[in-house]
Amino acid sequence: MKEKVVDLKYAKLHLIKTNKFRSINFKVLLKEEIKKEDITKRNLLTDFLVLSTKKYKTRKELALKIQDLYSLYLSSFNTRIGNYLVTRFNLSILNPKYTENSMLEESLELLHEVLFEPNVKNKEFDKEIFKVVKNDLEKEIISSCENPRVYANLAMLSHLGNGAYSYKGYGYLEDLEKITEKNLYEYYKEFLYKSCVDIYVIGEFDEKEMISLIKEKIDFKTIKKSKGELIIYHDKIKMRPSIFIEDSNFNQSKLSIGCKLKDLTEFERKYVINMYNMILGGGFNSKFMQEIREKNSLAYYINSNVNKADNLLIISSGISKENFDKVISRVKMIMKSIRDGKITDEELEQAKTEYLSILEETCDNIDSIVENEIARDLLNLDNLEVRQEEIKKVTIEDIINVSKKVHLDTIYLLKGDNNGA
Amino acid sequence: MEHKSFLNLDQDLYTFTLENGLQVYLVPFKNQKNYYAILGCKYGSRDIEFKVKTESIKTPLGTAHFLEHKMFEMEDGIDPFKFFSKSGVNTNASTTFDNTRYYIWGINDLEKNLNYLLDFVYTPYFTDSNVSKEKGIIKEEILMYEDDPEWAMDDEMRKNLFYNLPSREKIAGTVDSIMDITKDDLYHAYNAFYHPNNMVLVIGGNINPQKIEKLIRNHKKLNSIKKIDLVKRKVYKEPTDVYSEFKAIYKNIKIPKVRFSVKINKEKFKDFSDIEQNMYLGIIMSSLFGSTSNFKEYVTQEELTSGFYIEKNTFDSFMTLDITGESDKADLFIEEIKKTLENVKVKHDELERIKKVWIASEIRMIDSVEMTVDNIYSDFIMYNKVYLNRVECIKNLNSKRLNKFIKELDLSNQSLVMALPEENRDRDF
Repeated sequence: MKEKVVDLKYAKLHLIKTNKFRSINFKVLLKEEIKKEDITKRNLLTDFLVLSTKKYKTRKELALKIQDLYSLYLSSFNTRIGNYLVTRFNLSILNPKYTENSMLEESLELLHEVLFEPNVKNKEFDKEIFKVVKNDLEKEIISSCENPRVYANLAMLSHLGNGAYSYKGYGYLEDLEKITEKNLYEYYKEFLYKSCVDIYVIGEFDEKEMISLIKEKIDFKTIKKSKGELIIYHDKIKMRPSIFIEDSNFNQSKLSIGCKLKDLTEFERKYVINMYNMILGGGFNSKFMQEIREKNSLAYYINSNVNKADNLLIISSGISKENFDKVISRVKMIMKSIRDGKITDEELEQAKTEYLSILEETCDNIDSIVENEIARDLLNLDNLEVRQEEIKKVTIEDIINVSKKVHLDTIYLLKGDNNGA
Repeated sequence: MEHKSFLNLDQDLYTFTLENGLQVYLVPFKNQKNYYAILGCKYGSRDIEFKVKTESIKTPLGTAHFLEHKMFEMEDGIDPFKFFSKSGVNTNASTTFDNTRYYIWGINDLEKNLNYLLDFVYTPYFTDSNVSKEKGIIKEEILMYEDDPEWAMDDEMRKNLFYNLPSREKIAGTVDSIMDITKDDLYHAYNAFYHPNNMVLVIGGNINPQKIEKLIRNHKKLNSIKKIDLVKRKVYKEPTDVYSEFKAIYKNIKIPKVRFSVKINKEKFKDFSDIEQNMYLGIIMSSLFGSTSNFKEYVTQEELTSGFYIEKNTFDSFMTLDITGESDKADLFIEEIKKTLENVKVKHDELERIKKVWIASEIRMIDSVEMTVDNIYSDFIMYNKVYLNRVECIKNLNSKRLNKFIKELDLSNQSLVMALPEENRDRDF
């Protein structure tokens, strides 16, 4: 399996050839620097585009067409990665050898229509579809705070600072109000020309045929280079973490803790921080799981995650409110114990094995292979072979050093009332 | 060992049964690196009353799930999570109404880890102190699920649908019932149900079937267990109608949610095999409520819902058809569902289109070790056999049989659960 990059001028085409799968997947990735006020618009736009086209004017007509093409998968998805807003259009089809020869071209034609021939009348988006999409997004924004885990995490981030990490992924009701069929269509045209485009194709295919088909069907007629730093850096570090507690009537209390990562070296950013996180709370057998769940039964779950684009390490847990102080003091104690060098060779070896095995497993899933490539391109990481070698070089000393660059910043508790059952 | 293959899909499968009754399925994938193994048992939350020889035993609600947690306790102090994670292999377990499964997935050291999976599931070790320690953890787990509005609606719906089936209760039990669980309950349940002839082992991925067969046939602990008769479960009488037609609950939400279910007695479909029943009901659901249905077009365009999904489930001799959605015009949404259920008709070309979609999805599924292993496992739990010719089964679906199925189908036993925003609690409903 080798990735080949073809410069199409208007986009980089990444071809990954493999015969491991019975399907062929396409991802069209558009990225630009994020503006808070664009999030809602972008969500509405990408939802709109995959629901109907100029040719398939209703949701039902498009759904029928999709079924005719052997039920291909078509979706759009927006994520914030560091300072960038990234839009993905995903298409997954069965390899034509299991269906009909014409399916490759017909499926790409549909993707073409979704991207370039939207359901527009008199220079504005179709009113009926627009109404539905807007209504759905409104509901999504309203109910996004219903999941206590997500809510606690967002609340913590909003207390942590005002960087792009504090933006809400679903968008904002006040922005939604201002969007109309007309100004969304204006935004769409801008979006096509402003974004930086990458196209990923993975599966078993003929390279020449694929390149010419992509050139024909997915042609953005624009040349754009990305500028501006994707990764978020923090300059202010607190001496003591701030604590925020909010009441709720959920049963269980949700704890979210944000730590800032500062001044990591390239090697630390690429490798050491992963090992630190694995040992702390990322692995199945982490210090958090052992100490807080297994030994003291203080939580049903507790884990930590690293976000390299945001330079953050986030700890999440579900606890009973009366255990708040105990959990916090143990979290601090465990983080200190790592700074004091209380890591065994065994723990490090295991973290490496776990990491390597996750890396290898991603090669078995068609979507993970592409997502791995995307992350590598966006975050400037090494390729798989290099990663497999470099990770082995991480030492306990390295982890102690990086642990001193992890700064506890914000502790947030969404307090439950525990009176369920 | 028998060698078979998934019809038309170029994928091998091997199967054999040990003397003690354990059924084993092996699915070697040619170019995948990972493996995935499930060791499962036909014992779930519904199995609270049973007979061993002449002794009747009753265990508290939530015993199966509690037992699942405690299987990870070993007398020698080794923690299975730790054992597996040493080679970067993940492990977990889950309990449903009718089965409990233990699974591992990863890349490295299959043989060592498979050996250990068998060791730990066939080595019960329950003490007063390790049982009491678990109560705090499970209590947190129960509270966590209660905060999930859709989970809570699901729990309430089963109470609405059933009079007597124990599946009407929560899988994990209640905060009170788990406090009553003792190590004796766990041993009773373990000894009754965790027998090889009540269990199945499915392994897929990067495996060598001959080697794995040898390992399993030589596993000391597993092969020392003698075959015994299956335990007798209590049989419950369950009326066809629903226990209750409505229930409202209040949750921390902004937009009301609805769960609408139909209870269907399988007795009328004796002519149809279980898999046929499932498939024909599936066809009807896709046609009435799927992505190309008139229903979906109407409720979306009229903004009667901001999203919904359909499912079907089986509980003993009943099937359920379930629709879950979010709606601030719930009465109109429900009215539309009821109207749609009154007139069940599936045109021939529609049946053929759904079949095409299903066949495409079967081909995709076989690309995934996880889905393939899961499918074999759930076939075993649901049908007691594994269907290697699913594509053929789909191709064989026809209008004549479908119409016969529709004729027998009674969709009149309906129930509704609504989750309303907490602030509506004091308002009249």
